[in-house]
Amino acid sequence: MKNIYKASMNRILKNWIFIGGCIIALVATFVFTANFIGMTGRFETMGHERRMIFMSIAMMGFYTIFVPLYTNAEYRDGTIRNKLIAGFSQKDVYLGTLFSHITALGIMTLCYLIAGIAGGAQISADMLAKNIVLFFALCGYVSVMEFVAMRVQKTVAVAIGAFLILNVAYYIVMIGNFFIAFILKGTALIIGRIIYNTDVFGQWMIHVGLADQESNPGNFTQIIISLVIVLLSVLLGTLGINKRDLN
Amino acid sequence: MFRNLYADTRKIFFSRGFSGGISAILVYQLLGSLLLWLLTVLLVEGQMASEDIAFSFTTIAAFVVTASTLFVNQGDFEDGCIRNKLISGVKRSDAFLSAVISGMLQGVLLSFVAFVASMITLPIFSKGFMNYTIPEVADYWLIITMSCMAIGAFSTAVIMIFGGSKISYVVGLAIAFVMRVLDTYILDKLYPEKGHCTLTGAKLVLFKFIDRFIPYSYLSMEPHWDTISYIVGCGGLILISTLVGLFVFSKKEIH
Repeated sequence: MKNIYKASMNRILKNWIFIGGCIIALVATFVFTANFIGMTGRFETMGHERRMIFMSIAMMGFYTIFVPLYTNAEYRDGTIRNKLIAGFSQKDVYLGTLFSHITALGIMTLCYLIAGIAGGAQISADMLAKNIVLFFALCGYVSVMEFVAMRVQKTVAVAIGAFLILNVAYYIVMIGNFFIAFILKGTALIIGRIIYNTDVFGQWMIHVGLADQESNPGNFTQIIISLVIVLLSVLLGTLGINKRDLN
Repeated sequence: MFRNLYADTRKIFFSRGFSGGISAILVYQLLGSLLLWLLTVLLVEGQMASEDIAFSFTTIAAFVVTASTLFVNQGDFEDGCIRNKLISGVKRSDAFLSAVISGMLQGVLLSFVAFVASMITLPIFSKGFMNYTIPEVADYWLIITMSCMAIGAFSTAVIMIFGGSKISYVVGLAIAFVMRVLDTYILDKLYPEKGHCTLTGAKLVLFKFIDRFIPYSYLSMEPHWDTISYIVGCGGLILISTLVGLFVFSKKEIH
C-alpha cells in the first residue's frame, strides 16, 4: 500500500488539474479574503476570516470532479489491472489511493490557508479550529467520492453518482436550515443536527455563520461525525473488494 | 439523416440512462409527496395544498435531464459509435443534429413522465390547488417541458462538443449544479422575502437577464414573465447550442 500511495502522490503532484486547482485556491482565496473586487453588503461585513472560510467550499466542488475522474481513469487506462498483476490487492489500491487524495486535500488546504492569511485573515485559535473541522469534513467527503469512484467502474455512472451526492448535500442544507430553525424539537432536533453535520455544506454553513446556531453540535462532535463518515466509507468501500472482478 | 434520427431516437428507449431517469422521477415524486404529507399531517396537523407537490420535479429536472442525456450520448464516444457512423457515411452535421433532437426528445419525455406522476399523486396526498387555476398549472407544465427540452439540447450539444475527453463527463452536470445554486442567490436578490430589491445598474440587468432568459432559472420559480420571454429563452438556448455545436463538431477530431 505504501508503494501505491507513493506512486499515486507522484502522479497527483504532476497532474495539471491538481496543480491548476492549487493555483486557483491560492489566487481566489487571496483575492476574496482581501476583498480586492470590492464586494459590499453581506460579504463586506463578513470580515477576512469568514470570507476565507467561505472560499473553502470550492474545494468540495473541485474534489467532486477530481477524485472520481482521476481514480476512474485508472480503470479505463488499465492501470488498476496492472497494479493487481504486479501483486497489489484491490484493498491496497483503494487505501493507497484514498490516502493520496487526502494528502492532496491537505496540500490544497495549505495553499488556501497561506492565501487566506496573506489576504488578511488573523491567525487565532478559533480560526484554526474552524479550518481543522472543515478539513476533516472534506476528508469525509473525499472518502465518499473515493467509494463511488472505486466501486463503480463505469465512468459515466461515477460522474452521475458524484454529482448526485453533491446535489443531495446541497438540498440537505437547504431543507435542514428550515427544519432545524422552525420544526424540529427534542430528539428529532438532535437527529436532524447530526444529519445536517454529516454534510460538508452543513458544517461549512455553520462556520461561515449562515446557519442557525441550533445546528451546531460543537467542533469536537463535528470532527467525530467526519471521522465516522471516513470509517464507514472505507469499510463499505473495501467490503469484498478483493474478490471483485474487474471489467 | 432520418435513418440516423430514427436510430438515435430508438436508442433512447433501450437506454438504462433513460429508464433510470424515469425511475428516479417516479420514486422522487412518490417519496417526496409521502414525506411532505406525513410532515404536514403529523407535525403541522394541517392539509397539504396541491401546489406543494405538483411541481416537485422542478427540483431535480435539470439534473435528471442532464444525467440521462449524458448516459445516452457519452456511450457513443466510448463505444466508437460516432466514429462508425461517420465512417458509414453519415454527415457530421446529421450526426450532431440527430443527437441534439434526441436530447430534446428525452427532455420532453422525462417532463411528461413527471407530469403524469404528479397528476397521480395529487389526488392521493393533497386537497386541491389553493393559489393556481387549471390554466396556470397547464402553463407551468408547458414551461417546465420547454425548459427540459432546451436543457436536453444544451446538455447533448456539450457532450458532442467535448465528447471523447474526460471533461465531457462533468461539464453538463457541473453547469446544472452551479445554475441551481446561482439561481437561489439571484432570486433571493431579485425577490427578497422582506423588503424590496436593492439591485441597480449592470448587476440588476444581468440578474434579470438570467431570471428571464435562461431556462435553468425557469425551474427555480413559478412563471412570472410573459410567454414570449420563455419561448425566446428556451428557443435561444436550443439555437445557440445547435449553431455553436455544429461549428465545433464539424472541426473536431473524433478518436
